Order: sequence, then C-alpha cells, then structure tokens
Amino acid sequence: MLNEEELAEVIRNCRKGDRYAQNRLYQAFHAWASSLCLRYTRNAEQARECVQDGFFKVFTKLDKYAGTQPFEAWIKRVMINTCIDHYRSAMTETPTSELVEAHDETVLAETLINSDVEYLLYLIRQLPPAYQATFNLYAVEGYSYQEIAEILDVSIGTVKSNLSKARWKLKTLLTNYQTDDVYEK
Amino acid sequence: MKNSDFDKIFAGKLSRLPGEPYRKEGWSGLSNSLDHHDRRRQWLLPVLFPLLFLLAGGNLFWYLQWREIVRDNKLSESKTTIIRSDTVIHSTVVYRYDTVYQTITDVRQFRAGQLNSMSIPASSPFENARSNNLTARHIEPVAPPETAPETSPPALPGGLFADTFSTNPPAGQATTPSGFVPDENRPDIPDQPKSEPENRQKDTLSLLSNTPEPVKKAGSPAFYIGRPRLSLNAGLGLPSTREESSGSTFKTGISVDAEIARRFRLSLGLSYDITSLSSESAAALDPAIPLPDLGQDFNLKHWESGSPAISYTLSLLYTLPVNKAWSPWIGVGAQAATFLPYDVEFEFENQFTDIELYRPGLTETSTRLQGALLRVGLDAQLNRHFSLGIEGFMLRRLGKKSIVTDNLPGLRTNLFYIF
Repeated sequence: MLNEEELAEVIRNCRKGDRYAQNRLYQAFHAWASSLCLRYTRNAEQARECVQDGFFKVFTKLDKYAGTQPFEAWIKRVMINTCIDHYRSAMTETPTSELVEAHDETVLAETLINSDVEYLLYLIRQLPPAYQATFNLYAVEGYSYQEIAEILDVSIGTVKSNLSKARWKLKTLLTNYQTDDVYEK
Repeated sequence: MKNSDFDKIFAGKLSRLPGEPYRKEGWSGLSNSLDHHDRRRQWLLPVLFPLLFLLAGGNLFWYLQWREIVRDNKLSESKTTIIRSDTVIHSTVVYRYDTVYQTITDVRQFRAGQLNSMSIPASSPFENARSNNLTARHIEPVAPPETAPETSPPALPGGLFADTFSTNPPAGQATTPSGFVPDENRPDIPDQPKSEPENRQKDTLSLLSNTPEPVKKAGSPAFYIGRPRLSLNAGLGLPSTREESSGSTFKTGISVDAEIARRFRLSLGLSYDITSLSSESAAALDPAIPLPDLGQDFNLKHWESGSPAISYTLSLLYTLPVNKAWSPWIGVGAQAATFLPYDVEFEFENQFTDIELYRPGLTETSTRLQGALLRVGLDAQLNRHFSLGIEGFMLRRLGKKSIVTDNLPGLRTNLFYIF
C-alpha cells in the first residue's frame, strides 16, 4: 500500500491522466478491491469484471473526489456502487418469504467459529442478491440503515426486513453445514 | 446467539478474505479502455467548436441583416418628406413672376429742347394717376408760364431719344413744347417692386432658405455582409505525395458564405474527409505516425491507412463578371484539419529470411494546418433559393513536411441554399 504522501502524489498525477500513476494506484488497491467485489458478486469472474469497471470509474471520475473523506472510503463506495449497479434490478427485488425454522444455537455458534472464510463466502453467495448486498453493507461494511437505503434505493423498512431474512438464511445454511457435502470454492 | 455477535464474527472472518493479486492483463485491458475514453474526449471538442462557431456566426449574420432592414425602412420614410417640399417650391415660383412685369409699362413723351420749361401743376394728370394707383401712359402738356426765364435746354445727344420717344404728338392731340416730365418730378408709382435682377436674387435666396436639404443618395459601402448561402457538398480527391503514395479522399460537408464586397465572397466550410492511402515508402508516411521498430533485419514493405478527418476551410471567392446562366468564380484559402484516430497496417519483411510480419499502428487525434487551397468553380441558379455548383480544388501543403499528402486535387459539387 501507499503511504499518505505517496497516495496524494499518485492521485494528483492520476488526475492529469498519467498512466504510470494510474498503474501504481491500480496495483496498490487491486487486491483490496477484488476482495470487496467478491462479497457482492456470485463468482470470481463477475468480481473481476466489477473490479475493472470500478477502477475505470475511479480514474475517470477522480476529479469528483474532494479529499474531505479518506480515499479508501471513497474508492470503497465507488466499488460497491459498481457491484450493485451490475445487479441493481435483482437487488431491489424482495425475495419471496420462506418458511421460518428454528436454529440450534449451539450448533450454529460452533459451525460459524470453525468455518473458514471461503465457506462463509460461499454461504453469502447463496443468498438472494438483495439479501447479500444488505447483509454485506450492514454487517461487514458497517453502513447504517439510512445509508443502505440510499445506496440500494429502497426504504429503511425494506433494509431491515432484508437484513433480518439474510441473517436467518445464513443461520439456516450454517446449521445445515453438516449435510452439505461440498461447496464451490 | 445475538444478531450483533453473529454479524461481528461473520464480518471478522470475511474481512480476511484474500483478494486476487494484481494481474498485468487486467491493467492492460483497463489502460486500453482509458485510452479509448480519452480519445473520445479529445475529438469531441474539435467537432463541437466549429459547430458552435457556425451557430454563433449564423446568429451574428442574422442580426446584421435585421439591422440593415431596419435602417432601410427608416430611409424610405424620409423620402416621403422630400416629395412634400417639392410641391411648396413650385407654387411660390409661379406667384412671384406675375408681379415682375409691372415695371416695363411706363412710357412718356417729351420733346427735346423743353426739358427745363416743364412744370407740373398740383392738379395735373400725374396726381390723378397716382391717386388712382395707375401708371400714366400719356401726359398732357402744360403751358409754361410766360414770366419764366428762358434757359437753354441741356445738351442731349442727338440720337438718344430718337427711337424711344417721338417728337410728334399722337394724332388728335395738341402739340406743346412742354410735354416732357423730368425724372425728379415723375409721380411715385405705388408699391413698385424693385428691379427684376434684385428680386430674382432675393427670391432665389428665399427659396433656398426654405427648401429642405436634399437627401443624398447613400453610396454602397466597400465592405458589407449580404446574400448569404448555405451549401451541402460532396466530392472526391486524389491525394499524392512525392514518395509515390496512392489513394483517394472522399469529402462531404457543409459551408456557409456571404458577400463581403462587390463580387467577393467569404466562405467557411466544415467537411468530413476519409482518406485511403497506401505506399511502399516510409517517407510517404505522415510524420505524426510512429513507425514500429522491429530491428535492422526487417524492412518496411507496404503500409495502408484509412484516415478520417474533419477539415475546416476558409476561402475568399471572386465571381467573374460574366452574365450567363453559369457564373464562374475563383477562390483562394487555407485548410486545417483535425485527424481522428485511425489504424495503419504495416507490413514488414525480413531481408534475410523473407519472413513477413504485420504490425498495426494507431494514431492519435491531432489538429494541423494542411495547406493553401485554390478553388475554381461554376454556379448556376436554379430558382430564387437554390443554386447548383461544381468546383475543382487543389490543396497544396505549405511546409516542407507533408501532412498526409503533398497535393490534393479534386472535384466537388455544391448545392446552395440562398437566404
């Protein structure tokens, strides 16, 4: 990663269209952006596509970055918006309600703690896109209900509902972990 | 398990998710996309600017025409005033001439030798004539008083009155020696006008002072803007360079022109050109195009390009004074062009192994002055608003280095709309 001074200089040169500076910025943030996009997409190929589109937006709209917030926060917002734009129609749809089952809390906690990150990513990708985005934005990124409602262009009630359903679905999947034979890494 | 705990554990694990490492292919793809994006932005301005310029020019032209029409309307109103003044002058002149003739009717008779013996009594016919406001034509002679000393008459030249005054009295009247009336004693003629030349001069001065200043006919200005035309044109050119390149240029565009002086027109044109060129010489290549470097073993065998460009032309046209259906004209001007990005196909050959290699090249957007333009053409007016024209043109580079071509002769047809 770049330190603060280097980052400022790179951003300044990127604004001038300097390809070398853009390459440095791309190198510095690629892995981080890729990790972010993996959580919002269904597979690695889609994540790769979102990373490319996200960086394209970063370089072409860098003039709009005012510098009032950390650059990481700005680039994260650009990447998330790019991912959401790819699946916007699916994300704003409210999935049909499902049967509510009771979870065995002991099994759930044990499974969650012992699960590796790839399996958790696999579980998140099993969620409907609207649940996946809402859960990521709230639990992982730490956005508020209001911010999530603005990003997804839905009401706060929908955000709360989708978040609740996303959690329930994840818990269900985790409880049934023993019955799942394989998952796609 | 609480929701917050569940979220925290989940987020903690997911935040350790490794991302894909940097890939060079990924950057190449992104770099190409950015290049494409930049190119699009680069040629947008050269295209938009001339269009805006034409739009602004059109508006300015419309404003000037409108102002000229308003000025013409004001001039035509002032012409009406002149006609009224003419009528007043006419009536005054006729009245003055009627009075002048009164001064030539005073005829008197006298006899030479009686000049000093004449006297006019108080009740003489002259007095009567004055009271009647009439001019006497004949004066009755009055007998001189007997006591008056006889004096010799003033010396008069013998022939002075010979023709004007008769020494013989008219028939039926008594002849007396005192028939002459001296000038000092002549009765006043009431309200006689002054002498004719003096009156004429006075009248003339009076008329001049009352006559309004004539409006001078406005002369045509040397430079003006008028008779605008908009034309659509299309044509074909044959570009050539000294280094034996061959190809063709197709041109299509619009132009506006307007008369700026008698028989002179200023023309501004915008056209889209596509030039196809091929050559076996690297020297014929546009200097702006970088030649791929494949080492000393490879020689350039052939290259081909198809370059789109937007060209801008500024010309001064002179219409020859020929009164025929087709009016010929000649013109000179200059041309600049914005070359849009285009591909060049290079074919190289290894001089030792005869292996042929193809390499693509891509140019960047650039705007350059192309050269001087000579134009010759014929126009025929179809009706009030449309005319058709055909022209030959010759574009010749100005600098030492050729820009795409050295010379570009061609033919073009124009369809004009006359405003």
